[in-house]
Amino acid sequence: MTTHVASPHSAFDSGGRPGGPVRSVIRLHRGGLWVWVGYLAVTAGVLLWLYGPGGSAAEQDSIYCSHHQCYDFGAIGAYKDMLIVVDVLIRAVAFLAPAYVAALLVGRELQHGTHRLAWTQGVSPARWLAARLAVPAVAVTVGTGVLVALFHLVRSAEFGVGNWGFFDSNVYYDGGLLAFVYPLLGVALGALAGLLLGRSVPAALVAVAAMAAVQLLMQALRFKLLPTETRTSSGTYDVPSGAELQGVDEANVHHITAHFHPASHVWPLQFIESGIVLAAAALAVAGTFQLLRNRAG
Amino acid sequence: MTGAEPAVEASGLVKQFGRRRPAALDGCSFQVGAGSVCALVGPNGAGKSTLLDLAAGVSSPTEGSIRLLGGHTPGEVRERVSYLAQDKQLYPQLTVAETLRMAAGLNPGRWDARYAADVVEQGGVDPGTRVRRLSGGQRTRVALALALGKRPDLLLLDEPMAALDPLARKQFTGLLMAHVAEHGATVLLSSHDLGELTDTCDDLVLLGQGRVRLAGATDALLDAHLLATGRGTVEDLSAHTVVDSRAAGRGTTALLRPAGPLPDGWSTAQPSLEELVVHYLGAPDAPPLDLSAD
Repeated sequence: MTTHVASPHSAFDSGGRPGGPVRSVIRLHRGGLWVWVGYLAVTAGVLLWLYGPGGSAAEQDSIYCSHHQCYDFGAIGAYKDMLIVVDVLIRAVAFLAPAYVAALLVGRELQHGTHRLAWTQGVSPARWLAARLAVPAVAVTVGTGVLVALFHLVRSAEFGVGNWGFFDSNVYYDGGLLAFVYPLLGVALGALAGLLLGRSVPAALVAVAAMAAVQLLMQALRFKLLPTETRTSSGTYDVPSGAELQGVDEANVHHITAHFHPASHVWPLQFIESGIVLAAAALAVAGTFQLLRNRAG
Repeated sequence: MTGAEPAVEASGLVKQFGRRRPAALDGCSFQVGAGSVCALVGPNGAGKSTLLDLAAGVSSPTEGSIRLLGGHTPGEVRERVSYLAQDKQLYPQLTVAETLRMAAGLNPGRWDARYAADVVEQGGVDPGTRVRRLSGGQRTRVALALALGKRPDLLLLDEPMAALDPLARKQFTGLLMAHVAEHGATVLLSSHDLGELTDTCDDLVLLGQGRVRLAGATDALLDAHLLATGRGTVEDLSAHTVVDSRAAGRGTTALLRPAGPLPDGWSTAQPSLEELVVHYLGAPDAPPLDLSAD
């Protein structure tokens, strides 16, 4: 038995500094972070292909088609397919984040009992939780930021193929604030479900279901968050360019009223929806910390 | 009990998991003096692990309170308490060295890296090994290094030696006692194996069905009991508190708390700790005795 009193080696390696919980999350979840990097690389690769060879080929075919009356011919189809792939990959982040946080960051610890180790170190369980929220929140925000920037690069290239109006559903989500706020809500829901259920698989299922419910609800409310503008015309209805038509009242043929969101509503609508989603995330985070306090003092 | 301020003070602890199940702890009160080594014994399901979870602050009581190290809640003194839970869960994907580094980062200002590394190396555990590849004994060794590395004032150990062979048990006890001797730390440890506890424990808490059945210094508890053997029947002993009695040959053997001199014809002996506990375990309805609160 060797004895040590106030060992001079205690300063050796990472001791002492406040980054302990964050570093431990990164160390424990290196695998998950690499998978996320891979996911980003694949998605970024598709976006770069759309910006580069895919876009150029589609542009050439589109010029050809404008003279020969063809539709989604050759490279145009491939370009549109890849746009859908990108849309799915970006939207999926809002479901992968809650699944990962619920199952692997929180639920697994409680299921396997490693929380008994984690919560009895010198840092509080609240900081354990804070690190488990902060690391995925930063990871999804930074990663999504890269993808959204690339998405705008592709949009700005104007190959004349695909729907690029800001109200088009892929642009509205992938090119706006929604691509950021839903994954953040996902992190919060994942932590809440993980702590509440304490088992990986049920927690992931519940967190993903909660995300689906919120998204369905917000999809229904999305364009009701601001009053629409109206324009009345005769014979037919028309809306300004870039507007999103919400409905048409046809009193008689000379009095047709179109309800629409003008292009100027894009950002106010996005801010309101994002505010609601972030408020929900804040509520979930507060609930998770309260739950943890009740459980572990 | 030693020391003025108790290191562990449980009062009226109740822990209920779900409404339909019986309470895991059902009004549990006792004290453990600072600097003492206290054994927590009892049959399976008595509430030992539940009690240690509450003391470690990884779960909170339904009713009652538990105070540590002079009146603090478990949450207030986390950095001074180590908990070795029953399953010795570590993160399987980390190496032993990474596990120790993580503990260093999570115990700022207290971690003794050299000491923790020594505990691991003395057990012949290679720091580069992934935790998932460790044997049960090696895993216990690493868990003990984590527990001792933060130089705790209070150690909570749940069945710590279950996975260890006799030599490893001896080493484990040696490390533990060295820490206790150096730091004046308090130890609350649950165990099935009474033999290994007899030499090391100052105090005993016996739990049964979520309640404290015996608590106090082992010497005082032993002094309060007699093992009586005689020709008569247990009715002859009705002046005393009989804990447990059984027919032995043509007479009776009884563990009792004497209220005065025994009748003629009964020979008495002081029970061993193991005998004391075994008799109580065999008599779940015997009246409880708490000598721990001074």
